Amino acid sequence: MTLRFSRHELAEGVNLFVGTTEKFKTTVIYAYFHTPLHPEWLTPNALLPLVLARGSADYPTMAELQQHLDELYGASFGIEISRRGEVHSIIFRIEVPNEHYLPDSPHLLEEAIKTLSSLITKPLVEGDGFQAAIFEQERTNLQSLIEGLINEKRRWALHRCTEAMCEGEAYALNRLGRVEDLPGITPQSLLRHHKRMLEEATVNLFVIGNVEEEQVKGWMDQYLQLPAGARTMPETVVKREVGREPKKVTDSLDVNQGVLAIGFRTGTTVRDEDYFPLIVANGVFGGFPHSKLFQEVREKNSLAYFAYSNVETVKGVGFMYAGIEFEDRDQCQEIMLEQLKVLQSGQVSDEELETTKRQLVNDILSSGDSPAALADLAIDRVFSGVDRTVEERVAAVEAVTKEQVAAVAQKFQIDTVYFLTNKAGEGGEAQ
Amino acid sequence: MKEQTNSTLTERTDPLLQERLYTTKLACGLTVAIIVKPGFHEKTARIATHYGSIDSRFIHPETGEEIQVPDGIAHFLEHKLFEKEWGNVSDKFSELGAEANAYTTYTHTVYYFNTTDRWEESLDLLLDYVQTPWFTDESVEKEQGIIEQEIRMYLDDPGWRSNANLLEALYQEHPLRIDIAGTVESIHQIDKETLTLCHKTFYHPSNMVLFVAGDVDPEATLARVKAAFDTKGYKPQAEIKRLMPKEPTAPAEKRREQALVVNQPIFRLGFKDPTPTKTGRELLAHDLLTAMAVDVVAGRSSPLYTELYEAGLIDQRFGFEYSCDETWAYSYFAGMTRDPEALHERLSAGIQQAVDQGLSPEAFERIKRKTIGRMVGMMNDLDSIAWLFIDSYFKEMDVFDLIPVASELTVEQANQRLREHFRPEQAAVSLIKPK
Repeated sequence: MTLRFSRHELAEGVNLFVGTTEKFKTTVIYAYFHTPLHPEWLTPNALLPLVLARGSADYPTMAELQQHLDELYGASFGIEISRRGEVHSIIFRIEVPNEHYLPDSPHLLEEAIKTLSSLITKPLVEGDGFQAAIFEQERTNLQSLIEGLINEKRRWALHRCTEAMCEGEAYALNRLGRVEDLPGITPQSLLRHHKRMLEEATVNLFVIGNVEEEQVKGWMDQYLQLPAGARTMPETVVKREVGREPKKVTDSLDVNQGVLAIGFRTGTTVRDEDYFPLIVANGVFGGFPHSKLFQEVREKNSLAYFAYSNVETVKGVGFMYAGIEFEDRDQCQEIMLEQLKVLQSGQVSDEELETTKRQLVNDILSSGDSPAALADLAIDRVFSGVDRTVEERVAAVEAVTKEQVAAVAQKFQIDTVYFLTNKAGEGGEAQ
Repeated sequence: MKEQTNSTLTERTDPLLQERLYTTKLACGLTVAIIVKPGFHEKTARIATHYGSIDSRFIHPETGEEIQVPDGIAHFLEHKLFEKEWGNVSDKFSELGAEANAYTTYTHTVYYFNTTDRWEESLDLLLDYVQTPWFTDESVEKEQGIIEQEIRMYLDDPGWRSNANLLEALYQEHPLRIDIAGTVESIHQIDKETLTLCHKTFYHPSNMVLFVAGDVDPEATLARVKAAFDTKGYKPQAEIKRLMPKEPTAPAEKRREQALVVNQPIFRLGFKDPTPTKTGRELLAHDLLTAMAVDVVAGRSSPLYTELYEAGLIDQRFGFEYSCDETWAYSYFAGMTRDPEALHERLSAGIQQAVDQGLSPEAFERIKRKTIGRMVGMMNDLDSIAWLFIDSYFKEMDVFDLIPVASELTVEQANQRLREHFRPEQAAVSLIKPK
C-alpha cells in the first residue's frame, strides 16, 4: 500500500532511488549533489547551478533550452541549494507530465533524463572556463540573491540568529554563500569546481512517478555520465552544550513589525534514539497551531499572528520565533521561555500529547500523496541512515511518552536571543 | 465525455485526465462536488462561499437596503468562525488529526481540512462550524490584535507591497485596490453585529460550494452532507446583489513608489484590461488566451526575455501573470532589477513590438503544449486540484474544459487579444525602492 523506494547503486556514491506509483500525473526527478558545508565549497556551489541552468552544449542559449522544455509539454527544470546539517546540496529538478495523459502519447521521460543530464554534465565552455558573459551575469545575480536575504524579515531574523549562534561553526554559513567570496571566483575556477562536484559529491537521484524501473535505470546509465571518484557523505559536527550565557543580538531596520527569534541547541539528531521524542516535543511546544507557543503568544495574549518553533535534526538546533510589536519583546520572550520550562517539567496534558501525535501521523501518512513530500522522505533516509517504512514511523511516533518528551526537552539549551527591531540605539552584540 | 446520473449525483469522467467528478445541488442550494482519487491516503474537504474582500457593498437580499461594511470584514469573519463558545475549531481539528485552515481571496473565502484519519468526524465538524457563528465583543477585540499583526507582517513584505501598490495605481474605484485584510483602521470598525449580518447574507448554502477530493465513497459523503444541511432549516434566499463601482478605463495613477528595506528595487508593470463581464467557458477562453499570449511575449522562451536577461535587467525571479474575473482583469510583469527605468523602457518597447509584429504561430503552439502539460500537472495533488476547482467554480468554469478550450485557441485570436490588452494608456508602474 505505501510506496517504497527501490535503491540502485549506479556507481560508488551514486545512488538511484525509484518510487513507482500510478498516483501522479507527472514524473519528477531530483538529482542531489551533496558536498561539505565548508567555505571552500560554499559560494562556488551556490553559483554553479545558476550558471549551469543557463544552457548546455546541447541547448546553448536560454531560448533554445526553454523552447525545448516547452515542447516537452511544459517540462519544468529548476535548481535549488539546500543546507541540512553541515551538508550543502546542489539540487537539480525536472518534472514532465506522464505521456499517458496527453493526446499524442509523446516519449517525454527519456527526453527529460537526457535534458537533465545534459544540463548537469555538458556545460557551455569557452576555453578552459565557463562562458565569460554568462558567468559574470550569474555572479552578479548571486550577489543580489545573497543580499536579498534581507527582503523577507522572518527569514532574515532566523538567518541572523543562526549566524550568531553558530559563530565559528560551519553551520553559520548561509546556503547561498558569501558576497566576499564572489570576486575570487573566475570562469576557470568555477569550471574546475564543476569537475570537482561531479567527481567528489555524493549523488542521490530520485525518480517518482508511473515509470518502468529498469528503463529509468538504463537511461540514467546511458545519459548521466559521471566520472569515477571518491565520494563520501560529509559529516556534521553536533554541539550539545552551549557552555556560556545566551548571546543577545539586536538588528535595527526600518520595519513595521519586530521579529523575536530564540535559537537553542537540542542535543538530538535524526541518528539519535530520542529523535522521535524530539519531533513530538517540538510538536507540543511550537510546531502547530494547537502547540503551547501559538496558544500562549497568539491565542491567549494576542501578541502575534505567527508564533512557532522548529527543529533542525541533523545539526541539532532549534528556533522559536514570533512577529510582534516592538514594545512586546520582553513579554513575548518571557512567555516563550516560560513555556519551554513548562515543557521541560513535563507539564504536558494527555490531550496535547495525543493531538500532537495525530498531527505528526497525519503528516507521515499524507507524505505519500505528493511527489515533493515523497522526495523529502527519501532524502530523510539518506541522512538518518535508516530506511523506515511509513508504518514504522507512525509506530515510533505513537510510542513516545510524556516522560520522553520532558527528557528530550530538558536537553534544550538556549543559545542566542535575536531581535529585529526598528529602534535605533539598541544594536550591537552583547554577551 | 460520458455522463451518467446516479440517484442524485451526476458522474463525469474526463477521458484524457482520467479523473472522475461527481456533482449535485442540494435542496438548500448547496453545490457538492467530489473528485475521487483512488490510492490517495489523504482526503480533503473545502467549503467555500462566494464572498471575498471586494464584496463590501451589497443590497440586503431580504430588506433591499444598501449596505456598506468596513474593509477587511470577509477576512475578519474567516478568522472569527474558528472561535466557538466551546473552544477553538482549529484545536478540535488538531485533536481529530486533521490539518485545518482557511483563506480569503478577493472573491471567495475557503475553509478546509486535509486528513488521513477520522474523515467523517472532520467532515461533520467542517460542515457545522462554518455555518454556526459565535461572536462576542471580547473575541472580536482579541482578533483585532492578531489581525493587526498580520497586516503589519504584510507591510514589511516587499513583494506583497509591490503588488498592492500596483493595484492601487491601476484601479480608481474597484475594491481590488484595497488589501484583502483591510487596514489597521478599518478592522477596528468591525463589530459583532456587522459580522453577523455578513455571515447571514453570504454564508447561505445557495452562495456556497462544498468540494471533496480523495479516495472517498461519493454516495456516503453526499449522505453526510445532506444530513448536516437538512437539519439547519435553511429557507431559500434571493440572489445577493453586489454593488461594484464603475471602473474607468484609465488607471488611477501612472506610477506608485514606496521605499522599503530591500536590497534592490522591485519593478512591476501592470496593464488594466477592460472588465471582461463574462463567466463560464467564455471567461475561461479569455483567461487562457491572454495568459498564453503574455507567455509568448515575455516568457522564458521569448526573445524579449533573453534580451532583458542578457542586459542584466532581470534575473530568474522575473515573472508575470494574468488575472481575471467577472469584474476585473489585469496583467503584470515583475522582477528585482538594478535599473528600473531601463527595464521599464525595454520591457514596454518589447511588448509594443510583439503587439505590432504579431506572434509567430510556432511560438503560440509551443506555449499551448506547455499550458496543456501544466494543466495535467495540476491534477497531481489534492491541494492544487481543490484550488483549481474552487477558483473555477466561482467563475462558472468547468475544470474539464481547460484542456479542450486551450487546444482550440488560435494565434489570430491571441494577436487580437494582445492589441486589446497592451494599451500604453492603461499601464501603470509600481516601484519599491531600497530605503
